[in-house]
Amino acid sequence: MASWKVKHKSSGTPGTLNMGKPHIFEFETYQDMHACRDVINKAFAYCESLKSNSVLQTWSYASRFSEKISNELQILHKELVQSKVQKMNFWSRRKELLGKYSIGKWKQRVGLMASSIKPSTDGRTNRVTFNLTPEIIFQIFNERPAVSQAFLNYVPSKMTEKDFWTKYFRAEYHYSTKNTAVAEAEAAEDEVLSVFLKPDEILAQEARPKIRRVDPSLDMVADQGDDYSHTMDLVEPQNDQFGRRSLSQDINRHSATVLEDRCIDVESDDSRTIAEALTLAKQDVESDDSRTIAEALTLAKQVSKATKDAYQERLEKLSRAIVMEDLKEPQNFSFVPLSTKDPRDYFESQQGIVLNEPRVTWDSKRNVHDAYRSLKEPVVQIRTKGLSAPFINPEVSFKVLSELTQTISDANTLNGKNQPESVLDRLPKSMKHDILHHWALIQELLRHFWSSYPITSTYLSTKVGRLNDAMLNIDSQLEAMKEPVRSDIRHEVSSPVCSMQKVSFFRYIDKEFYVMNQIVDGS
Amino acid sequence: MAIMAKHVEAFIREFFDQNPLSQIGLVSIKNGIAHTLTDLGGSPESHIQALMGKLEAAGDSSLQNALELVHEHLNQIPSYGHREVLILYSALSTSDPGDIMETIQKCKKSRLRCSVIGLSAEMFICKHLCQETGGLYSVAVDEVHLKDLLLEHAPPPPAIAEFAISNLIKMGFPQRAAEGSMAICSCHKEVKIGAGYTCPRCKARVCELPTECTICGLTLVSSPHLARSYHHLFPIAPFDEVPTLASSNDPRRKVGKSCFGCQQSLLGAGNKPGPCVTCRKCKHYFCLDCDIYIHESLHNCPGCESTHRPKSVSLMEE
Amino acid sequence: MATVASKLYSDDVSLLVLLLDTNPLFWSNTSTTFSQFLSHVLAFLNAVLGLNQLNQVVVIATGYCSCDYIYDSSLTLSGNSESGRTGMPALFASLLEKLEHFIVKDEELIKEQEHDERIASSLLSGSLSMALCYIQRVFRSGHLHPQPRILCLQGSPDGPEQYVAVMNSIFSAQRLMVPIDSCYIGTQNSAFLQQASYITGGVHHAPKQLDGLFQFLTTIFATDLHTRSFVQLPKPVGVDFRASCFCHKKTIDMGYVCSVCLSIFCEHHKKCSTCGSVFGQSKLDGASTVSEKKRKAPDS
Repeated sequence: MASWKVKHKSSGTPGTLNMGKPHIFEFETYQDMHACRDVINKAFAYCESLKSNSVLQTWSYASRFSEKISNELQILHKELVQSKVQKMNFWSRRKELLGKYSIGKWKQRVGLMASSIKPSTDGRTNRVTFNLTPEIIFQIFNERPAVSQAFLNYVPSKMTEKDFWTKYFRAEYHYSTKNTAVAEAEAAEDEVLSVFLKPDEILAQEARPKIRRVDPSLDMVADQGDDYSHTMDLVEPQNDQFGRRSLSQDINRHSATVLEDRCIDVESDDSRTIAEALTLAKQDVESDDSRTIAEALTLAKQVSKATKDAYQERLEKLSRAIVMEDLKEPQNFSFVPLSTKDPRDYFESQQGIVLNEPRVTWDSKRNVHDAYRSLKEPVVQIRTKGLSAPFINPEVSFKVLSELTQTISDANTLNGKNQPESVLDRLPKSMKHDILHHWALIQELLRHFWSSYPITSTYLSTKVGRLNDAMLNIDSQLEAMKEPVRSDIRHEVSSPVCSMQKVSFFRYIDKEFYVMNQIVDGS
Repeated sequence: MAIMAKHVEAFIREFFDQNPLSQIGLVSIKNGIAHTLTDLGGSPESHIQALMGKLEAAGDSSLQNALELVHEHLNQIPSYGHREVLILYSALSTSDPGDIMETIQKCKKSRLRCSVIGLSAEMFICKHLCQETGGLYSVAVDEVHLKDLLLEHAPPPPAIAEFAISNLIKMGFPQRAAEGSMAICSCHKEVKIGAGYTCPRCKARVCELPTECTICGLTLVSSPHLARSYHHLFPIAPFDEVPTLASSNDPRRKVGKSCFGCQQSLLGAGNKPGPCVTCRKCKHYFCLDCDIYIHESLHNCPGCESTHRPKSVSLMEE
Repeated sequence: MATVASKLYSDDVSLLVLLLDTNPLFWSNTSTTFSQFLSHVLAFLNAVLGLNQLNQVVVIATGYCSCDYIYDSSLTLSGNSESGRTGMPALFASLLEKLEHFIVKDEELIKEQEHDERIASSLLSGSLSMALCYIQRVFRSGHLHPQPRILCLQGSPDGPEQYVAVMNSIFSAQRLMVPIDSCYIGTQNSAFLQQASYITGGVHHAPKQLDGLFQFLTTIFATDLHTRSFVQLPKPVGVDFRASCFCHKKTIDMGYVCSVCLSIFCEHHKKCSTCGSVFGQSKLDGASTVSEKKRKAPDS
């Protein structure tokens, strides 16, 4: 088979996929790999007819790993896959281990807030550039209905789209740089700009009935903190003509869109086509037609006003209810009651070690008193007579001290404080590397081995058999490797590797025996 | 950020102290995207290190992205495990790419209990999230309050009846390896001498407990880990307050002169009996400080433990 | 765990809380006599007090039916002449007096008990709890206080019914950063004390020759905490952390754990015998507690 190599010139973390000899794919970035996936899938479709399915499946598993694929893994894969373990199982086991990649992974996208759209500036010239995507347009229309209305009114009758947006962003820029004088001057010239610079009329209209519905006697917090109360003033403060929209107003508006927007989808059952158009407009954000979006939004808001009102009602009720939440029924998750007995009933068994040994028991009252007397007497005696000197024999003392010192120094030696290097460190580096490599291989095989238990099908038992053979194979390789090593440490060299193998081997033998017995019994 | 990091560190340590078999993962939200700082793991040090290394704040926050990421991670937990999210939220809004209500419903369906500690203002969406999933929403007013709120989340919440599925989980209790034995550690892939634990099933060597054996997947714990949680199962009854009567000569009141636990004098000013508490079962008197210590940390009543058990030995026979 | 922030310890001043085993059922069964033991211990206490002028010693007796404070060096008045003639100096006269009263009281209490077969364990959990309360009081007293540690002189075997209480005390000591040293003079192995010393960072030793007890005590257990960083002390060979199953009470190294109450079984059961939960179903009717958890904490 021909080998395909696709390279893209962009920087980033390399994603290399090594899937077996005939196919090598190298990509510079993960995104590129995704992009090319379609192409390659088509290629595979062609291959499929010639080769078995396992390659495709391997590909689909493998494609989910990019940065995680280390060199080590590739080497392991090469060796093992070519010998005994099926590719699919290899990747699926790895997938479990690495654990994070699953089908349907949520791809994170950034949400937008209309007031947070910032331009990029060119350091040299005096130009300020705003980037405008359909998503941004949608968000602006959503949060500032006055702008949406203005768009519908002025475009394409009075000006082009580009002009409209230029004016909008100019207004935004003036607003953000708090340049009142320029703002006033420009607003006087251009009525469109003035629309942008004033506080949002449509929003204010929507807010007024909302405010009226709120009962100020209850909702003190809302009363104080709600910025919509500013818009209720019939006499607008003069300084504020060019609308200092406060940050909290912006944020509130944005949050409202977050909360209420989608519910239009949920609530509307009439005007279905409009709603669909709206959802289509939302999803199909790639469409460049800002006008369609604006129209859809306005229409949707008008027609589904009934449902929207219903939603608003619910929202109001909820917010009122939250204020009086001590009167509200708490959401009832029924908790499981605690009903356990006295701990002394249970946990005696924790010390089975002690229980297994013969316990001292006492069953006669008389002896108890004797025992107490034997305790009291020495106390009284010492109190009156004092300690008899010497209470300890100096020879005994010396013996104890020397024994202790010996124990401590022995322990130190054993702990390797004086011998920091292990047996393996004494071997030449290449051999050590080989041993560790074999160990890694055996680890991988063992993982597959243990994951196949309990054996419930013949497939698993054959797999286990194959794994066992592979491990024995490696074992013999190790034996061969040990030849040049000194005979006294040969065993130590391979023992860390072999001990685990032995256990699995015994388990395997056990099972085989068991299976065979079953067959014998069954027949 | 530094204050929050300090308190989160204290929380992590307290959490592992109360729940030794649990795991924590850390996620941060920056510039509208949620990043995984650490995976689910049981070692406090690695989390604290990762936390201290990444203390920058930037950009907007997105509640939905965070919830989705957390949901993905926690979906892998087996059904007998309890799934929970604690969000420390200081932003005033959330910029989400999709419908956050849907995400909240998804969390509710997969039994993910979300709690939020707000660091700035109260937000409806956070409240809604917590109410839907059965979590707690609180807003910190100052640093001390923040610490208290955080530590409130360390003890385990009561189990919800429908969700608490009981299972028998297979676990191994490894022995500590003998000093001087050599083995290749399966977590570090290098030769180690001495201290370590051997998995009883496949004999692989692991460095610390509790953990899952990397070779055979058996959960490995030591019995103190299980014992650490027993005080939740057998909580100590609260002590009763002893009313300070006007006359200290009341014969019914047999207050000892000192606290049974710490021997501190229970007499207040002028030899009048000061405030103290008593245990219902053993009737011993304790000072208020001992009361706090016993109920928060010790979980044993010294008086009850110092009284010979009335049960006869015959119950303990095999 | 490390909620104790910056406590200013005096460098090598120590507060030693000694838990003395006065279980008559044990003492009447050993080769060493109680009087020998007592003399070694008194000499040891004297030595500890002599190491530093500010050292403090508190002795709590672990009896069979009760536990009580026997001696507190900070309360002893100096120069009391009660036994100025022969006999013990005033330093320990009060200790011995209180010890006598304690034994008498303990004897009275045992009369009230039923006379079935008794397991000869003492109330270790009680004296540990009292010791920790005292130490907590010392911590509360301000910045300048000695470094506390607990020394457990125990010969009685472990009482299995005290498992939970002892483990609670151990974990609390670990949080307070108080090491629990243990000197076990009995015949069997004490798993409680081994675990206590391992978890809290103390020293465990089981001396075989009890006539050299004084030497053991002064070599291993007299050093204060600051000095321990320079001195090598004997390390235990191994600590057995295996659990035992609830059904057969045998030690197992692999078993099944109920996810609700964490009781351990050696084989698969349909129903948990401690909390009554049926496995594999969700519980809607009683008999369950906090389930095992895996939680996650994101940051923002």
